[in-house]
Amino acid sequence: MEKASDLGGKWALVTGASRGIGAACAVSLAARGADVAVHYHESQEAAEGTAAQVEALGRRALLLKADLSQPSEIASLLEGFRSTSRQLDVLVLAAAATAFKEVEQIRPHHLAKTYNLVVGGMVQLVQGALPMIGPNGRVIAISGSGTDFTLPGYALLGSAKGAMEVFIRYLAQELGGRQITANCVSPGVIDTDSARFYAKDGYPQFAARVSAATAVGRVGSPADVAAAVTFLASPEAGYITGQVLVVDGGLGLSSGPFMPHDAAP
Amino acid sequence: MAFAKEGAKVAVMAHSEHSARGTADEVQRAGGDATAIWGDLTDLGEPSRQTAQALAWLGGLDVLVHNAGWTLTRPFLEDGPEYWRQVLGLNLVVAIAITKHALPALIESQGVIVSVSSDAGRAGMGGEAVYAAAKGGLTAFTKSIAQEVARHGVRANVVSPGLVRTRIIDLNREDPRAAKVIERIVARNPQRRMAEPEEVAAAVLFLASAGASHITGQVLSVNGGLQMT
Ligand SMILES: NC(=O)c1ccc[n+]([C@@H]2O[C@H](COP(=O)([O-])OP(=O)(O)OC[C@H]3O[C@@H](n4cnc5c(N)ncnc54)[C@H](OP(=O)(O)O)[C@@H]3O)[C@@H](O)[C@H]2O)c1
Repeated sequence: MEKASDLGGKWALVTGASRGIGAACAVSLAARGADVAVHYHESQEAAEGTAAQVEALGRRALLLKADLSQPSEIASLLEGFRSTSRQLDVLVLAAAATAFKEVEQIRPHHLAKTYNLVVGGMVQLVQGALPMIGPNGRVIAISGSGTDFTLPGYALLGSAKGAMEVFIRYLAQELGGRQITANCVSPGVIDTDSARFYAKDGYPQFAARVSAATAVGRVGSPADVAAAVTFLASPEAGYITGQVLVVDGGLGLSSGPFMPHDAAP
Repeated sequence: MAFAKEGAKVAVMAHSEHSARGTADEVQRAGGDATAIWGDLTDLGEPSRQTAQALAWLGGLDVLVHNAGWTLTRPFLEDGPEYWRQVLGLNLVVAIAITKHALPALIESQGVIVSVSSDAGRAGMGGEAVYAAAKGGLTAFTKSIAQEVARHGVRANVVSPGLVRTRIIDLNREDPRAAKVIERIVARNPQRRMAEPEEVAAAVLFLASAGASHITGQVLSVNGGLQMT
């Protein structure tokens, strides 16, 4: 599977590449030969760490800072990218942030923060990037299982990711004739800062409960998600478009806690 | 071929000696290691004999790919029991039978199953009703096996192609009605083309790889955007 030069000579732009899934995607794409624009918002040091890993693989790394909920900052991010490369081959949308609230606790600023970043930022970034994306280009967005399942406190982010999945389908349809694909990768529970933030102080118990509920018996790692993203970015995946590839260890397979699977007949 | 290129030892199981040998020879010419095993897979005695033969030659099993499949494109009212038996047999029952015989070896190796189903089984397909039923069954079977054996470290996923440029398409194109259906599907496809077989193989290979170790019970369509939900 590992073909070191598959993405050689290509440029990837990964949002939210300072930490977690985005960082793993940046490194995994670089390992397959891509030069990577590493976007971050506040975690500059972490982003520099990602860039160093990309460079250690012999690829170029470009650090780009932007608050993706701000249209002016998206414009300057695109400007920053264009000053280095006129061509973009792989756009990975991994940045996200939200407030985990029950519906009745959601305030207008919570809504604005989540939707401006996850939906507004996606639309503007894709529009701005498309003129640089040629045939065999890829748009890959990280959605999440909150679109198929209801998770506690997840209404805002889950619905924003639902919008993301639908938008990506339209994109796939409209770009099909140009042989540009657009897909989502939908992680289950992945061991990242955001999963820890979601579980608050109870992460170890949360992770244990989730592990027991997955088919494979563990929470996912950022590298698990990055492997799927990198596959979709590869030349061989050119006929896969408009899809949602679920990377959840089988968390969504069972329909409820009837009995533990290892007690099943 | 894709697996052989990655250095895997491949047992090629097929209906006819001609096609089994054809693929096995191709692997060998490319420097790979393959054996050809053949027989009427829809005769339910055969899958057990063939699977045993494959396991003996391979000396263990890491990846099982259910790829055998066949259909004609024609109105359901023109179908009859003999045709149903063939289509259900080759697209569904064979996979069940081979899985039954191969699963212990997969459990031992913590191996992987990849079933090649079809978007017909995901969304339905006029002119291929029984095939769609069989492929829908194959998908549900694979997901169920994924749940049952995950605790043994075995993963099972489905690759669901739209139209792929292979011999089935050429055969069906000889019937003008079917040719028209195929033409219409390609025109409706966002990418305006069929898949190359290698594009389906790449998805199978990815799901079988270590990179996909957190993916199980899933359906990955390789269809140019023909079906998205
Ligand atoms: N972890 C999971 O279990 C899980 C499950 C399903 C889906 N996902 C999705 O996977 C993606 C990656 O999540 P993760 O778990 O890796 O998260 P993470 O570790 O918390 O990283 C979040 C990333 O988003 C960036 N970001 C946050 N606010 C931003 C803003 N206003 N503008 C620009 N960038 C911003 C952060 O940048 P800075 O740190 O530089 O500010 C960081 O790089 C997200 O879309 C998330 O919804 C995660």
